[in-house]
Amino acid sequence: MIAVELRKLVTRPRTWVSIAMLTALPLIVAAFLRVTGIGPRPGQGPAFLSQVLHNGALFPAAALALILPVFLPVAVSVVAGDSIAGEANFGTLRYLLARPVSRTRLLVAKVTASAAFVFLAVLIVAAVGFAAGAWLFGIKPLPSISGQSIGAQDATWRTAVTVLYVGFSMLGVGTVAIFFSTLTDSPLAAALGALAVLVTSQVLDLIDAASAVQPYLPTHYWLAFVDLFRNPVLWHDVVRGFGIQAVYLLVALGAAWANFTTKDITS
Amino acid sequence: MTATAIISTRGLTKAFGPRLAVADLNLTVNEGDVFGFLGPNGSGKTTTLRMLLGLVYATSGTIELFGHRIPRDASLVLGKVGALIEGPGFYPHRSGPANLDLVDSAGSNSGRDRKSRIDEALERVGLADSGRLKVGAYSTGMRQRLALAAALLRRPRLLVLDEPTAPLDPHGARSMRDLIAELASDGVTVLLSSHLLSEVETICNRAAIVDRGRLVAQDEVARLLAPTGQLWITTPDLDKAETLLRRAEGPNITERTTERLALDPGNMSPDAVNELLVCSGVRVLELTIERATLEDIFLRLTADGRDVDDRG
Repeated sequence: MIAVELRKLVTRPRTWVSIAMLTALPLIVAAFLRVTGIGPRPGQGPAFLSQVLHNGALFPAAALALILPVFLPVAVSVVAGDSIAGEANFGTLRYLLARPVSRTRLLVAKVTASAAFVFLAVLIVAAVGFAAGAWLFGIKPLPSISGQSIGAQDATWRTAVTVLYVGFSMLGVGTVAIFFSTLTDSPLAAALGALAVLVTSQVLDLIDAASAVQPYLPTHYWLAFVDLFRNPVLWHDVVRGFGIQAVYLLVALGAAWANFTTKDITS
Repeated sequence: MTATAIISTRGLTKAFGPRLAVADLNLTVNEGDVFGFLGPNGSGKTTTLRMLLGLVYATSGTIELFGHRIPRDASLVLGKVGALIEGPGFYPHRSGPANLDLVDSAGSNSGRDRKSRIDEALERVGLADSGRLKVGAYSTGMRQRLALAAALLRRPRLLVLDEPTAPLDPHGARSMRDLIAELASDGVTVLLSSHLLSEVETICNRAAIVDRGRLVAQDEVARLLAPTGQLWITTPDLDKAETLLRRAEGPNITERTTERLALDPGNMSPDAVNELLVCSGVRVLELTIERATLEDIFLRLTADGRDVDDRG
């Protein structure tokens, strides 16, 4: 069943169109930076962008920081929100389950396919970001945010952990969207549900009145991967970020499973 | 009767909130049956079919398919069942064969003979030359036939068909009925829900009628359609016939139209009535023994045309 879902994912044009759009945004930004040479003032604007002008090696991380707040979670919500509700919407869910495919197996396959989409998207954005950064800005030893320089090998693993971290954060979003996808027969409603959670989290993260709950918000530590480029690495927030996402992921998966395996399929 | 029960439900009940969709349903479909499942809209037919396939969970009661409990043992027996429930469900951006390939890969079937089974199923429903056309561009009839092909993919022993001819034009409906009859003669058991009572009369050997979730009749079609006891006589000599019959012992004329008489023959047999008329010079064009139609029975047993809800 997992193989079937992966096949559906890679043979569906939507998958590649959305990844192409995700990749295009950082490329457009890179083109503007290259042509004008005007970066954001240090400490302002998206993470790493001011340093990218001097060193393309930071561009993969900068590209991920560009798509992370809005574009990537929207894409993940749409794809993961479609997982069960999309089948219901096409009328294929009842036929799949009557094959029979057990509901647990179908859910596992859907989660796997959503995870595959997340990592495919993040990896491609990072890889294209690396190529574009090298071509447009050149690769030099990284000056870390804290001043000392980071060697090429060092930069590679930091970028790899960044890819993993961003991917894992998006899995949290994806599983919330999958949970909503088991609740409704409308893929749009499921995506909207997941986005509602994220927007609420991002708004609460900005207001002081909500400071008590901020450390537990799903989006709170999303940009903590910036700390990976300090010397020495500041692990605290990254580790907390992984932990918080793991909790959201497990709760959302458990809720999705409990709901999907007991509900009447009337679509 | 030594027939093996393929489907057997006992006290099957389903409540959606406070509303009973199916109430205490005892349904038995035997091997080889072409079983008609009738009822007005909202009478619980589709809900029952969904429960048989493990899609909707019963509130109480039991279901056995091939002697196995549903939904507990669904994975053991549903592989022997082909289903068409509430219309086709396909990925519109893929071709018909690609859809069948995906749906077949989803079960735990071996992929070895998949290609040949897909070709065979497409051939059988007359879609062999559909090629790479995407399902989104199919006509309603083609989609319905593709759905039947999907149901036939694994050479099922039981077909559950929810109003299979409803969206089809007369030609399509005829070939669908022919195909169902052909499958039945190959030994496939068929459970067929339908609104088309003449269709059920034609192709089903047994039938059940449900109303508001309750079973109101379940019998062989031939027995449901037993003679009503009334005779119809068509003749140009109506007056003469009426006089003769009124004079005879037993017959009782119940109705007269411009060319026909209806009568309850009482203790006279239909052939004796015919002899009496013909020997007295009445030109009998036609003498028929009236049988109830399923429509009569249906309308008598089910409450008149109110829609409880869209769900069938």
